[in-house]
Amino acid sequence: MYKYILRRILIMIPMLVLISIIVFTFSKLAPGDPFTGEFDPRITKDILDKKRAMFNLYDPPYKQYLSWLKNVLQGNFGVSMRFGFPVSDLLAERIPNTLFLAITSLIITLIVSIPIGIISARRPYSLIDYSATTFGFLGLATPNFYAGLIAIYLFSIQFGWLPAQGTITAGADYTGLALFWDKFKHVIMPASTLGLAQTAGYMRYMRSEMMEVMGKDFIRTARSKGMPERVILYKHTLRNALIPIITLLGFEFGALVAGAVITENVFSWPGVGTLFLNAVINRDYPIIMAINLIIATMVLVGNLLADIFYVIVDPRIRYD
Amino acid sequence: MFKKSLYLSIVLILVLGIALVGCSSTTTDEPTQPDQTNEGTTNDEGNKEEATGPVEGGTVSFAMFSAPGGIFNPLLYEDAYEWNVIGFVFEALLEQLPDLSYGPSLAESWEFSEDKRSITFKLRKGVKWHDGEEFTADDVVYTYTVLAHPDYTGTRSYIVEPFVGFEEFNSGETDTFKGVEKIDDYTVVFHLKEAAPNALDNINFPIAPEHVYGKYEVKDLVNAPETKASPIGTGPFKLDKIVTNESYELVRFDDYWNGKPYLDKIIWKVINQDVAPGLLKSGQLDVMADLNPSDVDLVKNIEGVKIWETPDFGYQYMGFKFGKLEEDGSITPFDKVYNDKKLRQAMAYAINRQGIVDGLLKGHGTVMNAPIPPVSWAAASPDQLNTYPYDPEKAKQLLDEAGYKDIDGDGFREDPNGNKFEITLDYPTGNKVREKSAPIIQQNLKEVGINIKLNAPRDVGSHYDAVGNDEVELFLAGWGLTTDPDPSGIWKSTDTWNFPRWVNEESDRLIQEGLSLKAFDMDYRKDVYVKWQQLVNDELPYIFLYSQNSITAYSDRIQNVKPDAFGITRDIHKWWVKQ
Repeated sequence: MYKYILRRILIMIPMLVLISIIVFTFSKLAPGDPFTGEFDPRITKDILDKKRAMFNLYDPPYKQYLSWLKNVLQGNFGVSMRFGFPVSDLLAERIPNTLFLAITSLIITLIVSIPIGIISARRPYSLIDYSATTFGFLGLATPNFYAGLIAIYLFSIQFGWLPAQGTITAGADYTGLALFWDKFKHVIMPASTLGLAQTAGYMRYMRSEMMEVMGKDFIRTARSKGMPERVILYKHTLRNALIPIITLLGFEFGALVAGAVITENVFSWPGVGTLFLNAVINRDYPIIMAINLIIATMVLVGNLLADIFYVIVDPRIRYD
Repeated sequence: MFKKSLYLSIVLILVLGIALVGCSSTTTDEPTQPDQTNEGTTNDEGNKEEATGPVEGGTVSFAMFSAPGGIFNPLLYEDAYEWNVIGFVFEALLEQLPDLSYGPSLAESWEFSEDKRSITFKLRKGVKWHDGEEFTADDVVYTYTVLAHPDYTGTRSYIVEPFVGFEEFNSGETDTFKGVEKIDDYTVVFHLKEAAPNALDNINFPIAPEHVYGKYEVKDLVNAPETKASPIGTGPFKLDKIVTNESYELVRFDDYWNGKPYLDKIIWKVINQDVAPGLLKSGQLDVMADLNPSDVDLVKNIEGVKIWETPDFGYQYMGFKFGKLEEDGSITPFDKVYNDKKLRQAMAYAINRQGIVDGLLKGHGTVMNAPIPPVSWAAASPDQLNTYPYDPEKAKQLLDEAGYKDIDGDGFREDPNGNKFEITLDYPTGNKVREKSAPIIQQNLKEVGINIKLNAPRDVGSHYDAVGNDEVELFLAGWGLTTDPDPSGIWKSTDTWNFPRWVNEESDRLIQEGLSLKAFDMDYRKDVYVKWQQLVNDELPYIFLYSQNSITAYSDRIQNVKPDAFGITRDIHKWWVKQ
């Protein structure tokens, strides 16, 4: 088992290098650089060329890549070409917000989707199953930005219950419990919006997996042995039905860190997503590279974690 | 068990029901709201002040639609959002007045020398920085010296380029910058290489304190704490608290030289543009600039919200590419069908520009016919220009006369030699109105038989890369301009930003003339620019499209607002709110 994990971690290194080469190549292939775009016409070409030279943009691309790689191996992600700040500072500002939103969204998703999925599977074609199905399709079909705007219109503008923007109330200076409550009020709407489609999807997955497992021979055996329904459901069915959900979560992990550009934008949530989008628009290469590297690492780690969790939920799976 | 699930399903249905009600009310509620009496208050100066007079205290929230990059230092800031925040923190020597002339600010008076090449500024005494230190000539010298410094990392060295000794100091040849000279603590002299009638426009710049920023090496300024979080200025408000990328809180500066501000706080919030009108309605927001033209009707009907609309100095255009700028600075002309002026003029008649303003901008803009927007004092009046009104018949007639005829009957004209021609049009994403105007232009030109191939829109970076490298034919683009009408930088044939690579000696001569000694006489300068606009208006290296108005919505809770051509924030220290 430990050998297996170690091997997986070692394989990650060449994969990350390969990914960084691909991302670097593609971002260099895109026309323009951080100093092309709609600039103040008083800024002369000489001024911009000086900035290009400052960031070694005239060096051959392989040289630029190697110097980037060298810096990253020393833990230095470089500075934003547009703003001159260290990339690690910019990320440090954003990542806590992104994680807070992502984890809240994930918790909401799991709390809502798994129980409803189970109930739907236990009583298929009942009223509750149909309601859940309707909600599921609505959730999947509603684009995030639309759901977000409706939520803001209802809960923020009409009822005034929840704030529409940001992570804390500006100018309020809350501390302690009040601060926690304030943050919670800010995160609940974007997190639910972000989780809407996932909730709906997971619910459907859960329902069909549960139903499939319930039709399996070993469940019939358990039933005929006279095992209590509760044990059959939670010990035998649920654990087996969770396997595909864990796979999905493994992938989700990386995606969540990448942020949710659209949701972040609607709620003006200062996360990694908007930073990433702006970096791509501005061709701010060091930021693009750093975020991609983090996402890639997270996806790889997420998958590894998912593989480890399989062992826990499914005794049939063993790694040697 | 059954009861439990029934209960759950009822809850679920209720939740769905609320969501549906929500949907229907968004679509029916707002547009059908009765037209309230706000029509009359539009553009009203807001002189509803009651006998009570100004009251101290209160907070006003402003919206911006994108987060600032985070450089809160006037020497180095990069984007307009950063300026939103530090615009109330820092001040320049002079203040531009509503009529675009200059008035005193940190400088009490100024005087040009006989040869117009030096300007002596008498600085205001008793001005305090936010940390209590006194503002002096050293701060002025420091500010301009940093801009000229060899290690300066920002993009604003163009401010000091007109100064004597810039090249020597910037290249490291000399250790002192001769362009700015301190006479005593309250007198500074600027030495310019050449006399220029727009010198004040070119050199006016927010002043940064030497005692705060001077302790850092110029190259390290960008990472100084006073750059990232706690700038020290002389303005009416101090930047107090930053929640990065979401809100920026400014508190009043009690020792402001122009009088203690009434407001306690100003908060800039980063808000999604689609959400902001709703927050204005619910009172969570007080000021929203850069309103979308399509949102004006919605916002106008909100009770207690006023709208201020003013023409802008920027404009949008469709450019023709006439040549390629070579490495050595020369221009190799292209052989293109649109080198024919008659074809360009026919195209101007064929494009329904008023239709674009009425349809896409909902009337909140002006059709442009020359490169100086109508709001400028130097703008030629419409009767001095050919306004190219939308007239497809006239366009067809012009094309027929010039020999562009549809010979093979495919609906598109051939050139005078009988060859088929097609012109490609490139345009960027980002600006929604501009994006939507591209297919309209194509359709308009098709109606008179000109075949335009519309390339898929590209992101701004890619588009300007192609435009700058002369890899396009027709292109859509826009300029945001300063208030001075001098067109150099964009229009001289040798300019990098002369995107069309248009070469015209007469135009270059007039641009030069507009900056001559004679042009210190404003009437003469205007005459020169009118002549220049007539030339460009006839030659049409661009087809000028429109200038979009800048529109600000603000709550009528705010008193003493004096809107002008620059927006509504002038004399913000005199704003107050009803409690």
